[in-house]
Amino acid sequence: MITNYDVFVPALMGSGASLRVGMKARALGCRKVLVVHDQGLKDVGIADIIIENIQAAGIETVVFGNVLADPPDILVEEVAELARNEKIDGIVAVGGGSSIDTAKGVNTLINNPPPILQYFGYRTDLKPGVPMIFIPTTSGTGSEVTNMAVISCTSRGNKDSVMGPHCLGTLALIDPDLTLGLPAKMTAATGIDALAHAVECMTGGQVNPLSDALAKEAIRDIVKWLPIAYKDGSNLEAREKMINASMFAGMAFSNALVHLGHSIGHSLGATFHIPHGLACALVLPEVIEYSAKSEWKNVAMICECFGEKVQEDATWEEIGALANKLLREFIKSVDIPNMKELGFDLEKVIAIAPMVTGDAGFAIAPYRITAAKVASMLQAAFDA
Amino acid sequence: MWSKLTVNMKKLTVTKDKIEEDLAELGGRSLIAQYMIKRIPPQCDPLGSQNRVVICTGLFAGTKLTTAHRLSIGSKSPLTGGIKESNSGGNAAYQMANQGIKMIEVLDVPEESGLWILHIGADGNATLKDAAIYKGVNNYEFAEAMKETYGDNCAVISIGCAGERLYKNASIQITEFKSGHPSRAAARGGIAAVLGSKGLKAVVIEEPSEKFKVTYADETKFKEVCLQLNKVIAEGAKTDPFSIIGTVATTDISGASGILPVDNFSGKFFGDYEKVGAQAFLDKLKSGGGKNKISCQPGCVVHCSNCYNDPNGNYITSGFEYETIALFGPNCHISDLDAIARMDRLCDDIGVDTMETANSIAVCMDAGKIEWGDIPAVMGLLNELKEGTEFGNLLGQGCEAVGLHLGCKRIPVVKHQSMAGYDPRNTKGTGITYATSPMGADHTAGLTMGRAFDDAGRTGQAYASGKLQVAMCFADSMMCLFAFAHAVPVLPLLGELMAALYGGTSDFTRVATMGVTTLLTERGYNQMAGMTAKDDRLPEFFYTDRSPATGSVFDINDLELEVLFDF
Repeated sequence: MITNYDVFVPALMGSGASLRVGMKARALGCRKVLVVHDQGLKDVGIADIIIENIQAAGIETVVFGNVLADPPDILVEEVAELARNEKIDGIVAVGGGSSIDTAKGVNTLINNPPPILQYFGYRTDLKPGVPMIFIPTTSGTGSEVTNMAVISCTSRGNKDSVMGPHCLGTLALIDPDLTLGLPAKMTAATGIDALAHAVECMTGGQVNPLSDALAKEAIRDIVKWLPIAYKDGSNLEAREKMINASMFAGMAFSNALVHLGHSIGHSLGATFHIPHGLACALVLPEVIEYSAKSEWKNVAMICECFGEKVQEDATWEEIGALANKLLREFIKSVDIPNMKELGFDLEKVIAIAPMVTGDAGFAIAPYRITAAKVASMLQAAFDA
Repeated sequence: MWSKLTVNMKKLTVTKDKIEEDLAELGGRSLIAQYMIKRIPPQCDPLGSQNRVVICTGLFAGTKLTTAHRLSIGSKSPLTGGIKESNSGGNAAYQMANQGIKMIEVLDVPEESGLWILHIGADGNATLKDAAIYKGVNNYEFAEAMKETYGDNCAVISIGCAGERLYKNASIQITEFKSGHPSRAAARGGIAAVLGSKGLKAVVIEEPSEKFKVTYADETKFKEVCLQLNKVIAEGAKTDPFSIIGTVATTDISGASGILPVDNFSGKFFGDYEKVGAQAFLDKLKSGGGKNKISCQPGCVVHCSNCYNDPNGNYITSGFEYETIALFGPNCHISDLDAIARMDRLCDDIGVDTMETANSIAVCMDAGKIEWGDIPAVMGLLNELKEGTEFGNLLGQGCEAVGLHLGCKRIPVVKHQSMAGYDPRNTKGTGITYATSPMGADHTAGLTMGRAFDDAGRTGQAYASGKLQVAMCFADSMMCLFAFAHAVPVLPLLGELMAALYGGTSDFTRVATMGVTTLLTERGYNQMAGMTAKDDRLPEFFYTDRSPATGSVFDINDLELEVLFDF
């Protein structure tokens, strides 16, 4: 197998790293940047610190502070118009995946006419945008180092992705301090999102040794440190390990991509309006069990990252069942509810199966699976 | 109401009836699949009395939809031993539609050998005419004779000496719109040999004195949606290299990426690919006074066809396509476009599939029978095919038969049919299509080149192949796939078009379901004919021998192939 090693975005990592944002933006030649964040970051004071830091470096700021979860295309188009009118020459996104993905969507439209839905999919033929600096404030998305952004398509009622050079940050500033105040529930959901990235990209159709190495390290750290960060949000070591694992998982899936678990996550998210990390966790154990039929070697490796020894003569069914059990136990250990506990209606859950098979990520699944089988996975996960 | 002609070659009768209800809302490939599974025993001898040939138009024949007049020909294939639908451009489907004929079924075999023409006159009368005097007459001379007899606008569907000799690589040639050259081909799978076994030399269709009028469920709506679709397709065609240059434009991409087959699918890089590329082709057209941007059927806005002359301005061939150029060219280590054009002309004239034939020649080179790149030697072998010498007869049995006879190690076939102009190690999705298509190694069943993340990678390839194979099933039922490519952004309009013509739901699911049903029916037919999962694999060398151009092997696991058609 011949494979690409894609290491997309340079990153500056460490406690306090976000305070270099102004200096770095200046070094990139920016004079007027768009700052993208959500209301929550304004409320906790992080947004203002970043904006002041940028302004102190002699850079003008145009602020968009109303990012919505699962960024809708129409909002992205609106902000892009603001960016074009203001003639900004750089973008700083601070926040979780929604803020960073909004920035990527805006960048796609800086020099390419709207609507954004015409640019869904992997594109290398679009006009480039402006330099972007990404500052994650959750440990989950990995978006700061990937070349894709997930956008909600309002006209079609689903989520799709824009991918390509126009979605690449110029620099990522990875600062664990910014995650210290993340509530326990968010810590769990985003941490499981990072876990989903790592285990899915080890089982898709595009695994490579680099993605495997990054993903294995991410899984080991998440297994050890997420329960600690969940219980004690002020533990800086746990926060540092988690934000690092999240970035590793992001780098891993930049190479290997994620598949069915995310297709299910996108469909559940679009239907039940739940956070992305939670949505991706709900059927993850069943997805990895299904993957074992063709990717049993890597599924065994996932089990080993959980500290479980896999017998050499184990069948793919046994390996898949073990992975399912380990993942389910871990997800429960950080109090992620199942679909029944979330109050979903089983019939409505099963009805999303055809939508799953229409999701872009479905193409990367290790082997073809029918909507009927997806439905049986959803059923199995419903009250697991 | 559309009619069908039934031609019984044992009784030598022609009857005209209404089209059967189960076929009325089908066309092209979808019609042939449903026709065959019910009416042609899968285990029959392809050249025996139980096999039939179906010649039909597409779902939108008789309407103004651009490229609605593809001609589909179906039969149990003497080459693959399975179901075969081979389609072509040209003016025949257009004239069939003008005559109000949706389908011609050819049944049985004559009791005594002979040769006949099915003639459909301007008055709509269809009769079998004795064609003994045309025995051994090849397609160019034959088409010319028909034009002289029946006028310039008549459409001719004919077989050459290859079909008469029951060659498994024999093609059915169809006259091109305006020029009348028999350069359009229903080439693959050797259906011409089935016509040969039935003694049917040709179907000749005159322009009727009164044109058939299509009955619409909602004519106003149809016209509105049709106009919208035609506009989108015409707009897309404006920047389409197939439209601006021709299918030869593919060489520039396939040559640069190792997809272009070289030296009998050795997987090597061909340094001279630009000599058989788009610019070289355009230069040749200019210097010889040739032409591109020719429509092979009336009303086509893609106009991918061409007319290719020698340097003195004398006509050599038309409908000169990428596949022919790739396989007679770099795959035989040849980079002389004029020489390849002469090979194409000879193939069209005697009526053989250029792909199957060129692959047979490449196998001869690989086995050392003739030298790589030896143009006179190639012409010599093609003349043997034409003359019907002992080796010529072997060449007529297809690439696999030639390769086995000569002990060639690389025989690039699936289901006994040889590959088109794409190396499956470097466009793996196309390799998956080759492996799993009920048609055998057929690129038109789902060419994924440029559609997956990385042509030589594994990711998304099975997905792309699966999606395309379904799409091609319905595209081949309604229009030319080059026009279809531009209709992809507005696919739901096809559902609306169906409803406006036939009535019923306008939901696109109707169209997609037809694609899935067709594919599964074809697979079912092949299974009943005796094919198994083993027939859904590429030859072993693609899995084991690296492509020196890219270092890639065909590393798609069996599981991905086995579950591809789980719907």
